[in-house]
Amino acid sequence: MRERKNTIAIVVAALLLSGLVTAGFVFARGAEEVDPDEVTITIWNFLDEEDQEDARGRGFRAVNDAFREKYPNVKLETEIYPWDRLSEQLLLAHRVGEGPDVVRLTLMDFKRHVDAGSVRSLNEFIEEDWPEDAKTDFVLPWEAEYAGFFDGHKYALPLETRMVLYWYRADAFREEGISVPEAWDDLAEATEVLTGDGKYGFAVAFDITSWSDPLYWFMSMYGAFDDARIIDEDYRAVFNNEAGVEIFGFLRELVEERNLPTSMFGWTGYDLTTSFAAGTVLSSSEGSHRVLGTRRDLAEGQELAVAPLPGPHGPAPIYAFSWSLAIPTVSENPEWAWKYLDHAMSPEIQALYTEISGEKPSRYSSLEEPYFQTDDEGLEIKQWFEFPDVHGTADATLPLETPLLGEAMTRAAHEIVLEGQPIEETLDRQAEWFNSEVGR
Amino acid sequence: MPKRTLEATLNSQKVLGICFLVAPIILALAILAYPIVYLIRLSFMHTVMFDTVSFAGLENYSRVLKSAVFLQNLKTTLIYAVGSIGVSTLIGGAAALALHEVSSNKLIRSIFLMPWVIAPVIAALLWRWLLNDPLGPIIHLIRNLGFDVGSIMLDPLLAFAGIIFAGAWRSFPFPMIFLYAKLQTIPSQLYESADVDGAKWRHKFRYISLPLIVDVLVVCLIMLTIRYVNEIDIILVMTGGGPGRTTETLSLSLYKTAFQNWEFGRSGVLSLVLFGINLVFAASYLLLQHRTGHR
Repeated sequence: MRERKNTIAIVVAALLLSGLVTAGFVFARGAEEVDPDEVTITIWNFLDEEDQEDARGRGFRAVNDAFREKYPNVKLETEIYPWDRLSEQLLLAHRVGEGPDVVRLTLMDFKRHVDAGSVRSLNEFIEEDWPEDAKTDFVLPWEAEYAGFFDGHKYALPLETRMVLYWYRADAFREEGISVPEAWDDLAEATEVLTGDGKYGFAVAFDITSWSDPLYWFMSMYGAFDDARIIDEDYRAVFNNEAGVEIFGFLRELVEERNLPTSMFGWTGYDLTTSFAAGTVLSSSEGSHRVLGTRRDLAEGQELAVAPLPGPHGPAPIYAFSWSLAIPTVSENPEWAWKYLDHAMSPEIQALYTEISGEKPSRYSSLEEPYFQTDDEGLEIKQWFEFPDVHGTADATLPLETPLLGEAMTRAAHEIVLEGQPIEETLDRQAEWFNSEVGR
Repeated sequence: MPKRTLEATLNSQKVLGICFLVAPIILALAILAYPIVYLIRLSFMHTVMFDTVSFAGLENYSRVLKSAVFLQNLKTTLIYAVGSIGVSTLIGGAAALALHEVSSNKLIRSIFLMPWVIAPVIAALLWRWLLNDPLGPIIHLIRNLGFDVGSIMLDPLLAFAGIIFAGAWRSFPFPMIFLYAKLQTIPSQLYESADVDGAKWRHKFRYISLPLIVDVLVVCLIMLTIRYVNEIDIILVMTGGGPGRTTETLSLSLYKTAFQNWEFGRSGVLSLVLFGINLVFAASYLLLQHRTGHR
């Protein structure tokens, strides 16, 4: 009996003691002083700064860390969404009056957000903090809708510039004695020679879910024809023109006459990049932003080089665009959000971001940074900036409903190449479908 | 007859019952009736983003129902739903019988349940990779066996089979667990009597098991129908509706209309059509159950 009483007493004492210790911790934490100047900035991005396997994730982390170091009172928090869901999430967040302080958006999102009032004009910040000549420092035209400019207001600033380029395995081309293709005929021949034994001489990701990859290739190809447009000034689909017949005819030729397997019509952009890194794809249409990351994944002896995409009669004009940073209307700290944008746009941070992520800078002045003067990769990236000057730029106009447009054109490619449907009728049907869907 | 006092009326079981029902009825109206009424209203409106801007009359209905794509999507939806329900019920039923007849080992039961607990998007990504050409192991295996086949997901028929099988693989544990539970409740004496009478396995299934599990089977069919008619995840991730438009269902089209094109008026019409299809299927099952006398 006495033993039981002792046991109970020990248990009760232990419980009391642990309660006191716990309470002590709680009070001690509660007593911590909250810095009245501490601010939290939330950034929505499709990159994960914790993902150190991803070069662009590491680059994002470096930009954020530099900001944290510069402003220790600011707590940066990042939230990740799939790239094609960011815009939708922001619209929904705006609807309920909550959301981030900074968001990453791309060209087809801007007008929708400007119309919805979900992003704020940056004019007041720019006028106060930046000199007038800063506007001409950006690679993309300052006053273009696809660069976030509407009715005299700038709503987004390009974080990077990306170009759609021809990727090729320089070692494989050398081995076969093939020079870098500049026109479709060269590309067709190179494709035929390089295809076989599980290797693909050329590929574009043509899966329906991957509408952006084929669309970007089409932008460059249509740009190679005089006055051939995908979308007219009223944002109606007009890709069912003579240029379209030739472009889709070339795609069909690659499969039917040059033995290119149809597998690429089921590939996403991820599949394509993975296949390139795995050594099964020997040339492709891809963005400049992935070059350095993929190059680091290649096996020893494999060389990834880039050039302008081969067009019908010579190198096609360059299709360039960007992912930009914007400040949502619902931001509770727009001034601090602007400081983040200002930081991310500074030439030295752009150079730092390029060095780690491989994404090209959005400002010419960053090319003066040491990385672009001395580093081999930096010097190569600097050379890419000459492509648009030499080969021209492709029209970058896209409608609000870009995913539907990409889907219509990708579906046309499926029907023409996989199902053997007539080119003109298919293009007419898909253009009509797009215009009917969007009510134009 | 003595006149009832107010107190007595308030204390009556009937009034008390009504009082208890008020809160759930209001809740049900708020979370069920309001969205449906709002949806119907939306289908008659022109919308810009989330806002209704003007009365559209029957314009949205006309645009949706007259479109050739709608009929194609409707046909695809019905084929996908019927195919997936059939395959998942067959696999689920067979697995339930196997568990009931052969082994009810908890480990085996847990393994069978695994596809059900995997998130649909993950299941779709898994199957997309398995069927990928040339990186996926299935196509690799087939070609290594000497068969010269093209990409599974680029052949309209095979792509359809692929999404049906992936959907059924993900869902078969649902009918399995329901049917297995019901099979467990059938008294063993019925089977023993049948054994005495010399009944074979198929006779016992046809005349004992099947009639006694029909009510649960109907519930499963209704639930699976709702699931497959409204299915987006598997199709969106595996094919996106392709190749061409061969696997694009109404629910995928609804998703694209609402969240890629932001046309909530027309997506309202599509939602009501899907609602109608679900109702027709559910009513048919119940009618069938009623006619066959299994209530």
